[in-house]
Amino acid sequence: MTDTLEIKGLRVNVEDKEILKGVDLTINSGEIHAVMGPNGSGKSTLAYSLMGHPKYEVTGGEITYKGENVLEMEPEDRSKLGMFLAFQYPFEIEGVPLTRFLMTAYKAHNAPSEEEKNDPKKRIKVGEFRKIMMEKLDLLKMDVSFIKRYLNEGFSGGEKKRAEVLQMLVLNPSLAILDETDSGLDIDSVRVVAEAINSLRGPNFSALMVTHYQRILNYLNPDFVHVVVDGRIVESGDRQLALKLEDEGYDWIVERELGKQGVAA
Amino acid sequence: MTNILTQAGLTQEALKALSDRFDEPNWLREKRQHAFERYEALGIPQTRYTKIRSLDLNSFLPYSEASELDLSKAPSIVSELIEAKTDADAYGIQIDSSIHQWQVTEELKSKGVIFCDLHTAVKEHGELVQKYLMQDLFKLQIKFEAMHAAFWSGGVFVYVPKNVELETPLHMLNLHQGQQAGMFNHILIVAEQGSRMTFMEENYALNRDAVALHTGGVEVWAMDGAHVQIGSIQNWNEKTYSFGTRRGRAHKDASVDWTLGWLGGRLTMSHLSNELAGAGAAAYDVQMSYSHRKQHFDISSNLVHQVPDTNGEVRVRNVLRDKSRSVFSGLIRIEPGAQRSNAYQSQRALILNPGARNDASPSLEINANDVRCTHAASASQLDDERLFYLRSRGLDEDQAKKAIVDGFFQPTVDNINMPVARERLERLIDEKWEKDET
Repeated sequence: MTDTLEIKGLRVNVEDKEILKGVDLTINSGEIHAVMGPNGSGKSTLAYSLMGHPKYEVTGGEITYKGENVLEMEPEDRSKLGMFLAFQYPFEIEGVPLTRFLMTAYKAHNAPSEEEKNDPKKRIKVGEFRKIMMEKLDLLKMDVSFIKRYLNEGFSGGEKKRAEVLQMLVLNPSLAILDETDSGLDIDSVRVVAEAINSLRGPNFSALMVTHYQRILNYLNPDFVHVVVDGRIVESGDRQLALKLEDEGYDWIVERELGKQGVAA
Repeated sequence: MTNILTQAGLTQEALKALSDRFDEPNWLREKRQHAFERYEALGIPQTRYTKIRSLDLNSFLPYSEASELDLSKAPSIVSELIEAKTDADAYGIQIDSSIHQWQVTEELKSKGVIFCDLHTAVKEHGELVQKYLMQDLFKLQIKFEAMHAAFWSGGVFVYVPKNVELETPLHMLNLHQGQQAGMFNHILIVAEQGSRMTFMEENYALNRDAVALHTGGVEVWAMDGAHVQIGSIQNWNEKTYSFGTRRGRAHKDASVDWTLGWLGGRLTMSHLSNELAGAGAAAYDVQMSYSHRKQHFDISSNLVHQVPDTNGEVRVRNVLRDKSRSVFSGLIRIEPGAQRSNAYQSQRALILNPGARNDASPSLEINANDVRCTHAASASQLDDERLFYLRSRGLDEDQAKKAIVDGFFQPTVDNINMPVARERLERLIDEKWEKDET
């Protein structure tokens, strides 16, 4: 149970405006959680705060993962702890070929420790990296020419999403945070991406999927579905909740929450 | 008579001694004399941020004969390069003012290719050299250009006959070793009709502490249908003042393609000008600088479209840290009647910390009505969100910054048409970065 992600009372400001107003969430190893909710409710803020985005200021609460205080860690250390964030809008980085970048990241993740440094078995093998990358490209049905291109530069929306998933597969995280990775993908691509995520599933992998659509959940089959409204998780359930949201929208839940706030005021 | 050359001072006497040293013909003596008069008459140019006036030009040696090669203080990248066996078809090494090593294959010679030091060329190919050496390409309007034209020594003459295509680069190494050395190497390249060639020059200091004055010159003549690529890496020590004049002329359907990588020197002032002299001619001027501490790069680039249907491109990128400076001035001139000229000029700066300054002044002078000219200049800082993106993959802050800087330089580095030199440029950037980050 040490691989649990525990979020307690998380409050986050963006440019001095409070976006998350006390989020509590526990994700155990092996579980897939979906986070849904209307636009502007704070779903993406939750994702970026978990990874330590500089624009998101944590004003209260705790995040622990694998027993570590995540809030005190730099983004790269969170990454090395096993966390991965797939961006909704990945940045274009000119002049940096995807393959070279991924090699650098792979090396950072697999660098031998001080004691292991002199052990030739622990040395990072370029061949091994290449092999993994080719396998993952295949899984994502991506052409090999893709990895020679500059990171996200001139990629279509769908290509950017696949490139994010490729990075995730190669770095093999134990906790994946996916911010609307399904948005802007056609039906076939959604299936390919979902299958790629499923390839990581196992007792040592957990995921938090932020999404607007229930369709990817058909493939991912999440263990839990949460609804975020106005910076809080206001409803949690299983797959049935996602199906209900697809049928009925968010109005019922937003009205219920606003009403509750009205009562409180 | 030659010992005046070993005394500091760029004087009339030194000029004569230099011509005597190489037993030069009268036409060349007259040429040097004319340039010397221009040198005396012209004022020291000004550049923002660095005072050149305080530089005592007469404290430098007009000519330094190669002493023993001393690698004891040389950076490993340079000593490795010098000690490595080269299989280059044509390779020359100059130390300070004079030639240290020279090789050229019989195969190249049998094709009629000339690759020899410029003094030898004056003796053995006098007419050819006289026809091209600092003719109207060198206009002697800048003091340092005139200084170079008066005091040039060493350097290389490259001649590629009609329709000869060279597969491997011609390679020249210029090394600075001596205290107060004046270095005035001249590179003269003549590519005849339909020929194709690459010339790579690399400039390194063997000693971190010796002060030097480098006033270099490059001339490129690309005749009809000729394609010339020139690569340059400059990594002088940071006590060196470097003034360079580079001139290219592309005739009908010819191209001149420059890639210049600037890393060293205290102050570097570079003037590059390309003349597009025939229909279908093209010039590419791709440059990068990476400056730190109090380094200052002053780069100017001109495109002169003299006739219709010509293409010119200037792309300059600068990365700056500490209190370093970069100044870019660019001019696109479309001469009357040069219709359908297509010209592009851009300068981009990436500023790593707030103490650094970048100035850009791109300008256009258009005297024809059917042309396409665009120019752009921008300066930006490292973007936190991009850094976060890279760091979220496990790169630490330094690696993330370096990845962005490498990516910024990549299009320029890729333009160098000699893989080993490209790798050296990358390694020099890496080493400079590491030094700065620790």
